[in-house]
Amino acid sequence: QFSAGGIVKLPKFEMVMSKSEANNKPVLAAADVHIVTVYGRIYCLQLDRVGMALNLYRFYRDAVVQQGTLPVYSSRIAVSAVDNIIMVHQIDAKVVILYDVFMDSYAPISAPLPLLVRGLASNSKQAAQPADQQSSAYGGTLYGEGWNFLIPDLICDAENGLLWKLHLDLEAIAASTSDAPSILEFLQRRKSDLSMVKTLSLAIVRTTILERRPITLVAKAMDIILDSYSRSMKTVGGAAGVRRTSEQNQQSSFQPVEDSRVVSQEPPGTMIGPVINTDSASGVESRQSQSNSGVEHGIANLAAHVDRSSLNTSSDSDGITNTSRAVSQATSSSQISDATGKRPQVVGEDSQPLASGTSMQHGTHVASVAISPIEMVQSVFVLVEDEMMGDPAYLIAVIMEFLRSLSKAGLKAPPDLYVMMTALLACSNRYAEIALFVSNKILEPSRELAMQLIELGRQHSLTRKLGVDMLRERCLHHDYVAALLQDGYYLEALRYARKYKVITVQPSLFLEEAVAKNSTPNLAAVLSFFAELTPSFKTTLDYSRYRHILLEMV
Amino acid sequence: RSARRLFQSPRSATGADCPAGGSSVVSVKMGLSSAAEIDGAQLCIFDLRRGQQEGQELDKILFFHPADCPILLQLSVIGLCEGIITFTRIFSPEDDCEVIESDKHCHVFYQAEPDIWMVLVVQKIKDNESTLRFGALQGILKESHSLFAMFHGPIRTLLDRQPSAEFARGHLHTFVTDYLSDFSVGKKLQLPTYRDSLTERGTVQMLTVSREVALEVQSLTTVLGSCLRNVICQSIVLFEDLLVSTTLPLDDTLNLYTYAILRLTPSALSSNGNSWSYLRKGGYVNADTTLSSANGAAAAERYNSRSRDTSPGGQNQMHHNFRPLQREKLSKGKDGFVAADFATTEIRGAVPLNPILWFHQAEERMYLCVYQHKNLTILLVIPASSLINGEEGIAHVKRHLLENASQNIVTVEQKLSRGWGGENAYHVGGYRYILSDPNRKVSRASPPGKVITLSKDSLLALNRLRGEIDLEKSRAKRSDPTHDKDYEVCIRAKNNAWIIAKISRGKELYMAIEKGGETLLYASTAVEKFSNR
Repeated sequence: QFSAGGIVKLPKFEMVMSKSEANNKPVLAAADVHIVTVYGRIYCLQLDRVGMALNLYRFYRDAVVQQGTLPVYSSRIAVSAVDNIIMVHQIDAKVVILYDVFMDSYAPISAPLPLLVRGLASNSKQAAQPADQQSSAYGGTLYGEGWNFLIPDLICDAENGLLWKLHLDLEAIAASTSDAPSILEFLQRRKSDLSMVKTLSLAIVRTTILERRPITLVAKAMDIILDSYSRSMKTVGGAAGVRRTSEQNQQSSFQPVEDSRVVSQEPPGTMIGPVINTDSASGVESRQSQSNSGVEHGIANLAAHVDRSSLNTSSDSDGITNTSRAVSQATSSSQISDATGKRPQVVGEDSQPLASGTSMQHGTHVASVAISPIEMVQSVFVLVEDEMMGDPAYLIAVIMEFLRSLSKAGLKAPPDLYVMMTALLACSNRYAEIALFVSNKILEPSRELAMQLIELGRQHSLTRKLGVDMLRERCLHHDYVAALLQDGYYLEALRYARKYKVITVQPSLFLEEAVAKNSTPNLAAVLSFFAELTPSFKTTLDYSRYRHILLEMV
Repeated sequence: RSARRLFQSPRSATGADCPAGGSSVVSVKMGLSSAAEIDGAQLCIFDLRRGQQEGQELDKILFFHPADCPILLQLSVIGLCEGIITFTRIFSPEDDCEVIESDKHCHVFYQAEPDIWMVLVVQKIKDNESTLRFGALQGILKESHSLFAMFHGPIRTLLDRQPSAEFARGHLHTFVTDYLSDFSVGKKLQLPTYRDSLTERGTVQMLTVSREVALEVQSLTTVLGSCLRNVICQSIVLFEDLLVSTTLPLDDTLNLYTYAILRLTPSALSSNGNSWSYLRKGGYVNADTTLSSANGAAAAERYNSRSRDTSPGGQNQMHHNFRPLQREKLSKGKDGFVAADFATTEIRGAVPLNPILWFHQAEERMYLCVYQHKNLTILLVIPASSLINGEEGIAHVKRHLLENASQNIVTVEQKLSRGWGGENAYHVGGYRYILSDPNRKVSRASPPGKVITLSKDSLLALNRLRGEIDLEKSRAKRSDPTHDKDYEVCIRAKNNAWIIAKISRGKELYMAIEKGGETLLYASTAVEKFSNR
């Protein structure tokens, strides 16, 4: 019976549903089954009231496979999905547990978090009087009797006639766990609020370094970030630029709409988040977007707005902020009727499994979540460098792990990083290691690095030599000749200049060296060398000057 | 006569050259009858600050090999050496006398520490004057001294602490005797000859690894370094007999590397005797952990001499029973540890690294902990000051190492073995070569198995060429110490082989090409190819 009802528009899943049904106990009530779509996969969550567990099934095209079991701490639960996160509302406890099932890990992302009603800021800003009153009145009734959990991330508050939307407050979530790698993993998979994700990720990496957490942990964090970057580079290719502009457009286009509409916002709170992107590939979504597109469009706009406002206030919330928002009453009611009307059978009382899909954001932003190595260097290493000067060894080890992650991901590090690393090594007097790293190419040769080595060579002549040799290997002929001259190897420099036709170095430099060495034959040789090499040399001032000097020396 | 003799003679004839350039070689024609009576080589160490009064000359002698040499003879050898040293100082106060060549003997000098001299006396067999290269012989003196200083601290410090020199003599006796045992064939010392002209003592041989593997290794050293919570441990990683990575400064690396090659690497350990290999098998049997395949390395006992002045009780322990170079000791002493923990392998001993080189502190004692996994040998150096309760602290470090680093160790070992080209990895077809960088103390050479195939003529010529270059280098160094001079020499040996030496920007390349038909052009192209490495 159940299957027939639930899958009105999903004929493909009919079979599937019945199978999962077969697995279930006979006492299964419709209210105990929830369907969510995350990462383009469809999951069915079935509440086992006796065992106090939530069984997770994944629907494949032709099979249903049990994936895992989530614990339940409340007799009444509701399930929502926001931004590919499964949220299990423990209604009795009034908290939400978040799961990110991407990697088939069924551990919660963080400890159970409360919902927070958000929207005060926007209220005042918008000056929406009715909303104000409502919001203040609303405070105590989170998870009230009248809440209907709808579709992916909406809550219909029948008593107050409000519709809430769930948001993820990433910052709060990030603050609630100390497990940096897993939180980074989580953040990097989020598709909403990209700039936030990025800033947060960078901040997390920075703090891990500043707190001198164990290197292995930092290494894991780097792996995650670079992994996601290289993945996004592969999938996205060169389209990043286009995407970014489209994002901007979206935002700007939202602005006016929000302002006009947000009037009735309330601070209700359910969780989390912004709109979900789903792959259009799955039938569910396409259905969804068809059915709800109008509504969702509106919601998306609002969501974007609330998000912003929630950020402003989030600092004072300790747990998760749930921003939900009531859309203006007119809208909300229409939505509700829309939704409920569509599938009365399935809806049961509190849960409404729906796949989500906002077509408008589809596929965007993948690139911009990812943090490029250059960004890492600029916003992590450069920033922490000063503070870490007391303990360069740790920072060196961190950079080393970063390099390792880079090479694992097949990425190149910017030369600045090598320069920084060399400086760090030198200031802890680890010149031997510089030589080792240069020779096994951990420090990849570049002109910048060579110059840095030469600079450091003032304290340590072997290091200078490394730099000079690097110039030669990189075929930076001009710099190499100049460096040789600086060291007083003017004859060698001359030989080299002849061999590689380096004509950019001033003859006077060579001549000056020869004079400094007080060697008459050499000065004469250098003079005649240039006279032959460049016929016009004899007419220059240098020629006559050094000729004069030569004659005096003789 | 040899070329060396040729350009020596004008100098010694006039004697005027010495003050100007400083004499590194003095040709002495007088008969050294005293030394002539002894077969084989002698090695003595003496202190010029001791025994200044007549009748107390014996006090100068800190070590003499062979030990059963008559005292009078010992005195006469040392007397001669002292005389030469004093004499040459008149002309060349800056540079030490380095070698005396007489008809039957060759005296090689090395001033290990101010006024502490080591002299190696080698007997010349007929017609072999060019088979010895004094640079190579001096290398032995240098090596033995720096190893000694690594384990026992400088000789001078030992003497200052105990003017009777009993401990210094005791240590020198056991240590240098153990060291020389590597060279002894029967009762005689078999010192390096022309056959070793493609080796260079006092350099480290590196394993070339790809960048990816190198980063992996670095990540391992990071883990190793964090074995102590508050202090960073230094470490050296070797694969087979090649250095993979180090966090120590050059000279400390060299000393530890040398020691590891002599006694610690799998190949060195396998020559340590039967008891050893038996124990190693035991390690394999106990195969229930990831580390089960780890070979045990030996354990040496703690060494307490440095704490002597603070804790008088330490005096007894330091006496003669710390012999890091004694092979049997290494394997035997390990028993205890292996019984306690089959998987690990370690040596414990406080290693006071050469204080001059040890930049942290003038005299820092370090514990050495050796761990081995298949062909990977890890030397972990732990500052003794950071371990309040020595033994326990080491046990803690070991546990930490096993817990945290074992995964990395296994990974690194696998990657290195996969990339390892075997013994002949650095063989270059057609050439026999040695490429060394004395500044960085690194060298790479043709594998010994390939060098053997060279004919005697080539090796002799090569040996002589190296001797010449050594002289040339030291001369250039005296005239301008900051400036590297470039040389290139190609010689056609008697057997038509090309013998080539090239020094360019401080890097030295010696090679032999036994292709008689080839032209000089061919030879120099071959050199070009090498110089790009």
